[in-house]
Amino acid sequence: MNPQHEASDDLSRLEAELTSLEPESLPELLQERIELAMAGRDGPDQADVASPGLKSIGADPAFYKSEPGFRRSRLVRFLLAPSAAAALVVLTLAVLFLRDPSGNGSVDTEEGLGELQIVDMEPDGSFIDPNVATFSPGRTQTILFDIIDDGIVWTSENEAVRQIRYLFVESVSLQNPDGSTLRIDTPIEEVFQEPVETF
Amino acid sequence: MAALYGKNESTCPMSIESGATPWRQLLAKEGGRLLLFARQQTRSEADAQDVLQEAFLRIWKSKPDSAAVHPGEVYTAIRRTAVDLGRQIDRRGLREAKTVAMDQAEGVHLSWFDRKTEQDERRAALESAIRKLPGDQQEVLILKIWGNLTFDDIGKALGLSANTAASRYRYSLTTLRRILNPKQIQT
Repeated sequence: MNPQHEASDDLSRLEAELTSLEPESLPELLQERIELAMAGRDGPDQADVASPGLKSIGADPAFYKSEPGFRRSRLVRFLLAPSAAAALVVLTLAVLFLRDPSGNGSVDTEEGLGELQIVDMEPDGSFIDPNVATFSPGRTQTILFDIIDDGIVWTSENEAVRQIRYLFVESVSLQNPDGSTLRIDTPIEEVFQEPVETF
Repeated sequence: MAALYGKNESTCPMSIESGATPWRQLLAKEGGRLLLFARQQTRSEADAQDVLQEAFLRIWKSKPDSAAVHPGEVYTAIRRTAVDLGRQIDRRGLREAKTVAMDQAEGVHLSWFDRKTEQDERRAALESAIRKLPGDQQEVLILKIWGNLTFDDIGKALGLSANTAASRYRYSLTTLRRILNPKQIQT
């Protein structure tokens, strides 16, 4: 065979072999992180495109550059939604923990109202055995969402400090033996202040 | 050589409809390919993920509702974001070093391709060879094979002529073959 054709065939085979390699799929956590970031933004429009190179892991840089009042309200709105969801879940879990360990679903009250029966039911009307359907802790993940450098700020003690805020989302997954899962996302803000020398 | 270059020459815009769900579907479908390119463009897994996220959000944010985003635009955004990030790396060198150290310490899964059991050895050899390619050949190869871009699109994404992109692609394959079969080439 002509060496030139042979080389060409070789390259074609190599090309076919490379094509058969599938890139590793997107990590689930990264997809969640991007979706979270998309949820934190307004949606497709022609406005403020992110500033180049900003180490922004999910939050819109333009949002942080806007005026403080607006900035704060956006932040509060963003943080409140998952907080409300987390509070609801915590409340539900608290009710579950109040149950009698014997599993009969009763709670004793101090007011003498007698026994309050708490029962869970399947959609078909059958009762759920509380000893079977229990959530157990699964994966815990803390995602760094954004780093905001507030620059030099004055503390309430009139001390000049450099303030940096780290925004995290702590994600806890719980799993039921029946395969159902529950995820609780909790926004966390950590503020670091480094004293600076003033003249 | 026509067969070598003949695949996927037509443009194939990523059909993105308005609303978040199609974007999420797109991310789920194309995310692996985009992440592969982001990994090639950056130095660490953490940077690759950050760059992909930022680039994806830039495109998502800047496009009107009914637009169809061409894949080249997403790859261009990834490259530009990676370049921007590269400029910052010196300023946060320590943090970067920590990230790499953490990746190594925690044994983070850094394979570029899916591990298929029966051909894992060959996959590892190919991946290792791809990683040894010069960066300019690597990026063209990735955009062509896994990004399914035409040479024209690759040229636009990388700021090259289509001919240069095609030439680099051919070089990359030749170099790969040499890395994979050194003895065969010598004879």
